[in-house]
Amino acid sequence: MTSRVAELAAAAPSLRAIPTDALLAAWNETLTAFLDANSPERRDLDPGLLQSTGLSPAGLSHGLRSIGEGMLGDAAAGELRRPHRQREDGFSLVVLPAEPPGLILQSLLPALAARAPVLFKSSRAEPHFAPAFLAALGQRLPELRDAYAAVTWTGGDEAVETPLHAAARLVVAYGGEATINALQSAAVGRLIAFGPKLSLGWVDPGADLNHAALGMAFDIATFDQRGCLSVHAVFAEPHTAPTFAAALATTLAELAVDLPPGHSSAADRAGVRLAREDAELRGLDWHGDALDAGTVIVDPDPRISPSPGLRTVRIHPVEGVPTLDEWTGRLQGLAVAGRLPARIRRAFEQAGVSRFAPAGQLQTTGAAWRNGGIDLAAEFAGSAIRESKFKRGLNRAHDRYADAFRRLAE
Amino acid sequence: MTTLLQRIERFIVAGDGAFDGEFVELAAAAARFGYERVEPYRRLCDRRGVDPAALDDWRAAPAVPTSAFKSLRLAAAKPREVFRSSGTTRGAERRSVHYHPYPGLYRTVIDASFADACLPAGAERLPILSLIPDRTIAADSSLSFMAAHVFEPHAAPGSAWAVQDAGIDLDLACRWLRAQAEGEPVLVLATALALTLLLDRLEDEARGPIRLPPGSRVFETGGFKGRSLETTPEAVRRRARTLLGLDPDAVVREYGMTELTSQAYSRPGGERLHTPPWMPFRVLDPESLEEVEDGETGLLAFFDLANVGSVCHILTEDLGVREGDAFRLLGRASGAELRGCSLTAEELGAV
Repeated sequence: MTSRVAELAAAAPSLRAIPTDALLAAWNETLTAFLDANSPERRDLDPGLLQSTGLSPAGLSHGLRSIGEGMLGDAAAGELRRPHRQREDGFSLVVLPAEPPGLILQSLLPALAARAPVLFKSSRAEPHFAPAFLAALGQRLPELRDAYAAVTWTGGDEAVETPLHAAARLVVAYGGEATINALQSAAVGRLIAFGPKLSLGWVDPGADLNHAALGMAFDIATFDQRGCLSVHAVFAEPHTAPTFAAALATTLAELAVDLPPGHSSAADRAGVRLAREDAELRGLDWHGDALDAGTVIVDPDPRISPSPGLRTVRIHPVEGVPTLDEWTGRLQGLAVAGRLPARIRRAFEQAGVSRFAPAGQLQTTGAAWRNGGIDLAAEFAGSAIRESKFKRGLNRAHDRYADAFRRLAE
Repeated sequence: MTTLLQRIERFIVAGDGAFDGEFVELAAAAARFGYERVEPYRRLCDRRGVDPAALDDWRAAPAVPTSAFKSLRLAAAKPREVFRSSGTTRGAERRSVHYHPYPGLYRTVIDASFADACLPAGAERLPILSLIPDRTIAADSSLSFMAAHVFEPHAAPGSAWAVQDAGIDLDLACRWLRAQAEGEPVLVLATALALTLLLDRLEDEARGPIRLPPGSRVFETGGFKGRSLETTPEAVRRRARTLLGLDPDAVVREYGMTELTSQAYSRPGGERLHTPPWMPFRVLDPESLEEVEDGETGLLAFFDLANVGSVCHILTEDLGVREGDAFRLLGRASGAELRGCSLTAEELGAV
């Protein structure tokens, strides 16, 4: 590991020498291959990836396309041509989540744009995608081999992690609260943490409900509801909610044919059963057949709660601004069907929602998406720090001049 | 009604039922009582087409998920105690509330089951250290209610509560334990989390492990309430045995919850949990809610006669497996946690 880290740390100059067009070509070719379930790369990758993710083959392909398709061609070129560059030697560490698969793409493209070497820590639960993608990228552009690596170790191994945390210029972690707390208390220099979040839906009373149901169903079913952009609850006006719920349940059932649910654990199935039993006891309107094919509950309680998974979603009839206080900082995205009034949007923004997208496109993130508003390319390059130092200097200068003017005026 | 309560109380005190005969009769009467007095339960029975008046098998009474205690008032009479679950560190989730009209029945349950399950043979009174808060600190905790009631008949002079408003007083706990090393057997009451914190402190102390008197017991209950620690309940018990110098069979595990009045206990040193003769359990297939075969995983459901003040038949969020006349806990149903883009527990670093 030590020698590999030394190679990574020293790779920045050779990365900066790679022409953007060459980088773009390698990225596009590799990503195109990984989005094609019939490519040799995917034929090698899929058995292990399907096993570790539990997704159905169609579900895996759909999910990877959701993440990757918006990162091809012009979108990728736009990112790779941005001016941020890592000027110093050194590497960054990215701790990847177990799910959803393919999330490495969201940090790899900005790292390539910044010409920043990165060590990716793959989850032991899903150790396949990241190394396979980097290997394929390295085959197309061998200069990248020294600069990007994906490895797996058991989290919490201090012998491995302490020196890595100390050496990394930046640590980017996707994780639960305990992971983030652990990293914050460890000797990590700069840390960007993407904690666990959930996403919501909004149905405007004027929206076409069948169209809204189709879009929302995709935002629920993609990655079997395991991503932070997966919709867990939907707000709709009281008179719209029951009709929308019925339409959504029908659409989810139909979608389960084209996009079959993957493997579900006893805990997942039990969670859905309990949600249905709870709805039954409370006399709520609910829809659902097989436990893993979708459950829609109309819940008049305006407070949201996380879905137990397996495409379970609660529809909350609300008039006006929904109750979000308890979830401030834990919300990621909003799938919008129809119009979103400005005051409603503000309420979601104030609760921390950073992505608004038409229903059906919430999980279709592109190259330009800034998760949580964070510009990873600038962070990898270190220009975010330089920028803030510059701003601090500017502010200090401004304060000095302001003082001087005040004294002169007096 | 007095008659039903008295009959249930007598049945619990006798403690020799076999889930047939009188139990079946009492269970049917308790289900009818709930149907008559607990509105949400009546509606559920009606929707399911279950007529409690014709009930001849407690299994046919609809089971209520524990989550219902978070949103509905399930009380058959005016509550005399209100118990709330402690929630987890995640903070945004709702807490269960058990409006308990019959705390006397709760005391009867404790009297009928605790001593046999947790005290060393022959012990009546012994020094007790509680790492569970007393009622002045946690007035709405059913566990504190239980610990307080245990203290009344069983705590010898010198017993101590080692929880202050600010949290567990580990200094006091360690001093107390070291002072008992030469005396008579002691009992430590703790949640798994409190026990872990105590053991961490003992490990850090330069004075080394304690050797509690032979026959001492540790009563351990609950999980870690959302706190991620690098440990498992089994590891906690192993460490307790080492750091407190306990016999291999010294740790008794309790399984209880705010929504139930009765508890299940492990045999000393064991893992499997046994319910008392007034609380049969079943392991149910999440898909069909039919009972699964022995050895198969499913949702745990209990029919607790002592829960007659709310709803007797409870469907928990716990997964388990039947092993003979006992069950083993295997985890929890999904639902309370945020799942998005997160690492698995295995990935967690030190906290």
